[in-house]
Amino acid sequence: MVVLVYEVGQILLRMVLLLAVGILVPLWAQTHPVDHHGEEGFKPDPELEQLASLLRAKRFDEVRAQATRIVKRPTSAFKSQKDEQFVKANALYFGGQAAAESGRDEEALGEFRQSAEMGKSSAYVEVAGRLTIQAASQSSADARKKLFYEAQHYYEGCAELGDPACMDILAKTYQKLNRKDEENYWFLLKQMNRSAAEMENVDRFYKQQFTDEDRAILARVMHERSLSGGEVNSPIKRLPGRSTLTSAFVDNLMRRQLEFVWRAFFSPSASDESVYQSFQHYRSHVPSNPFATAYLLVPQAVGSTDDTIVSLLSLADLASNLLSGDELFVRCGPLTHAAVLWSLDSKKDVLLLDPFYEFWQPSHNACIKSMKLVPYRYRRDLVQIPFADLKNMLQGVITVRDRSIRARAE
Amino acid sequence: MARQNRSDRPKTSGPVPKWIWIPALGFTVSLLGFFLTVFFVFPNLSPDRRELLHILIPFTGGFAALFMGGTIVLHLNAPRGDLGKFAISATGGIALFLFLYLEPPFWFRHEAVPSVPQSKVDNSDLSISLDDPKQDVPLIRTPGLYEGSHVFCEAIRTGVILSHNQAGDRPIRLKRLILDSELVTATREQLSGLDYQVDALKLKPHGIVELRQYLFALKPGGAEGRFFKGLRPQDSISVSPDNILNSTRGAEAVTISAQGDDAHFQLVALIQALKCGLYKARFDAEYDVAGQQKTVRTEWLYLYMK
Repeated sequence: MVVLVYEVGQILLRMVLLLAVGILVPLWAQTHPVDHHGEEGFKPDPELEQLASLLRAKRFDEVRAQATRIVKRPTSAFKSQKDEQFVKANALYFGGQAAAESGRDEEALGEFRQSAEMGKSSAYVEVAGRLTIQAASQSSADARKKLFYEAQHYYEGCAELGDPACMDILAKTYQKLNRKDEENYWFLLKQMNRSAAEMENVDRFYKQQFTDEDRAILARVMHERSLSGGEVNSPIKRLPGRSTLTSAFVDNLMRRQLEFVWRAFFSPSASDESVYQSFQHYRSHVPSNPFATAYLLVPQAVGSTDDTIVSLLSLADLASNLLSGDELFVRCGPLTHAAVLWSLDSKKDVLLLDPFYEFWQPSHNACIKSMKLVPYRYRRDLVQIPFADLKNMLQGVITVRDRSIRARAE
Repeated sequence: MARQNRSDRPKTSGPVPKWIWIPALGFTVSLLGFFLTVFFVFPNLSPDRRELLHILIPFTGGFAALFMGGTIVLHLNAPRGDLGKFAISATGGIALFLFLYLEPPFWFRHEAVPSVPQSKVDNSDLSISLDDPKQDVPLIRTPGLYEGSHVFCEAIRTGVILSHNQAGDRPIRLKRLILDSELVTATREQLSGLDYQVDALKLKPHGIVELRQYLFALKPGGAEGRFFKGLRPQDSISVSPDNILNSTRGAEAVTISAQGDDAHFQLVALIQALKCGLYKARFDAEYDVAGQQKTVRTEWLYLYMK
């Protein structure tokens, strides 16, 4: 009997939470309309631009008809599997929006689901919100529970792809479910999306309000759950390690990169930046905060007074200081490239996040002996290559570490 | 020398008619006119025309002999034999015909010259050159010279241009295009003079963005080559450095014409050192022009990887 009351209580709590979320998220989505040209325009696609323009003109039937035509197009009509996935997922997303605007909620949900299954991050948000609303309207407890769990799965999807709203909802959901580690993890990650001024408060709060025990819990959680691997010391005096906050910051960056890689396509007009310019660009795009900053590690003497450029005089030093989330610059003869280190097993293989994986194919790269494209989550792939091959190709690393060696000690 | 009596002369078949000089003069003038025409119209004769003149020249000689008067007697005394004593007597014209036919004038015995005027002799040939070879990896410190030659480090980008010299119209068939490379044996002192430093900050990490170019990787055991047609694995086509025109997709036939777009054949090559060492590399082209087999080569490029 006690168990039954407890279960019912849990379900009611979830209902209240998810009902609030179900109302808030669609409202948030309406007040923050997606700028399709800006957000999705990384790969300009005339058909998708036409769909967006029809949607803006509220010609919903035409949007749906055009979206259906695109979705039915055979694979051979696309340049690559990734291209097909991107175009079809977006067409489904636009079709879902048109259906929702026309009051056909079930059809909208179906199309958003398909779009999410193809990897579109914002479709996860749509599905999660709609499932939550549906759950709230169910009279059957089982049906409600089933829909809540399903909604939670979609919130996990968008949170893992770096959406701060989804991170917040997940943290609150796990709090209600009393899953403390998950709650703490998503709570900490969500803070990494705040503005520079708010980050100052996060840093102060972490240092002053949290007890050592709290910080130890967060350190453990980040070590166990984060993509970045959690807190780490640096064996090199001139190069700081990563504190728990910095590892959370890197984790958040990695999730944003994971979202981005799905919609990153080669553009012939992309700027031809050098490693140094890429580093400056990276620093200007990393949100400002008081605890973490980016460093450039290079295996050469550098005459610059910039203390964020760290000279490591050997490739072995460079290779032994790699951490997950680092951006690696590699070269094989005349071919130079960059990719994000996803995870590292220094004795065997490394996994890399790279939208332009073709560089690593042994057919194109004489320095690589073997390469596998490993399916990851949310229709993203990782590049798997031997660590020994990577080590010989390293030319530089952008790594996010603590601002100073003292910062970690504090 | 005792004067011979008329009765001692060999007997001919009969007296030559007095009027014979008239047709002889006609034929002689006609043939001389013909020869003068041939002289101006056909400075170089085809084999068929030469054969015809070979017959006509003795005729002219024969007719001219008659016209100039008198007779020539060709008297051959054969040695003793079953046929006994045998003699040929002929009028001077026929004798001269036979003589000129059997022994043509010295200027007619020369080898035939090409059938085109000297001003239009076809000297079609192939030239090969490297187009602006560049250091393809940025350096902080550049190496010194090796035996007076510039040394590139780690990777070279160069164009290779094969072009018709346009000194004729003959097409040139390119049979082999070779990347000739070898490891250079250098002393430790020589290698220490080649020390260099790659400028990692200036590298441009844009991956594989340029297609339709050749990439050759040099290593001590030889070179390996590939042609980037696209980014899919099957679009990287292995090519043999022994003949770049041969690939896993088959042999490419290249004909270089004297005019138009086919007057040159151009490729972009990236040459990288895959293993440490000092290498030298050049491109050799073997070709066929007017049935002659020839070879041209570029200068050596030196490539060092420490």
